Amino acid sequence: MSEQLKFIASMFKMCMSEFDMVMGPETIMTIFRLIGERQGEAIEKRMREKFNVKEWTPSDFANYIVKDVFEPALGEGGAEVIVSSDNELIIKFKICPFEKAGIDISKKFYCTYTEGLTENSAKKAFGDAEIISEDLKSNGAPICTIKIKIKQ
Amino acid sequence: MSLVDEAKKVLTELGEKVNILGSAVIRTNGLMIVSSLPSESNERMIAAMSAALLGTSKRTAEALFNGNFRSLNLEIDKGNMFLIGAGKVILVVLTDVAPNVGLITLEMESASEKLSKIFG
Repeated sequence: MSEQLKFIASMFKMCMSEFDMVMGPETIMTIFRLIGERQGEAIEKRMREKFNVKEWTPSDFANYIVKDVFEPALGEGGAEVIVSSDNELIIKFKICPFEKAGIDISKKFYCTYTEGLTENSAKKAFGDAEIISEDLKSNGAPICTIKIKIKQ
Repeated sequence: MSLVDEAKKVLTELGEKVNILGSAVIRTNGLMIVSSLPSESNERMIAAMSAALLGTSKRTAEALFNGNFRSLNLEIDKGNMFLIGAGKVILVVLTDVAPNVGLITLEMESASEKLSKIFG
């Protein structure tokens, strides 16, 4: 990590610590979820335009979100999305970008960002979608797994 | 009966006991679970702000009295907002400008205990 990135990561950690002290974890988790939701909406719109999608299929959505969103952020193989026969998207993150930046993820502040991003991008693509289960690194799981049910 | 249906039932019963304009059950991460808020309300933002109010109130309670937050009454010139923590969720109630604070607080405490049990 470059010196500038180390400085920004250090500032970020200090900001989060002070936000936690003043406003509590509920506030931080809420803000991160809202940012994730907004990002999820933008991601779906960007992918739809970039790949000229008229109507999403779960498998197209899974392929494009891995290639266009997750891999640029996490590296190749950093995430995979499986479409189950029950119309579920099973998203597996092998790398946590926050953890990679040396940030303590045990407080689960940043998981809500990922929840908001994945759930809202799926909602925008399919009309109705909901996280039905999750197993997170911040809870001690080896990788993060988020299951989203598409209710078509 | 689903958890959402059980929460709806708690809100309906609460509305039958006290005079309220709206109510909501919100996750502590700011996600709306169930609500009967006035139609013009921005539910997404109200849910987020309620979680933020809970977080800030808890920290204020610790800083002021080294105490535990119990409930919040936000007086606004056009109405009141009551907020109480209920385990993993938050109960929010909106009333007119002159509510029966004692009765509402009592009934909200009872409702929050039920919600705590529903959502573990």
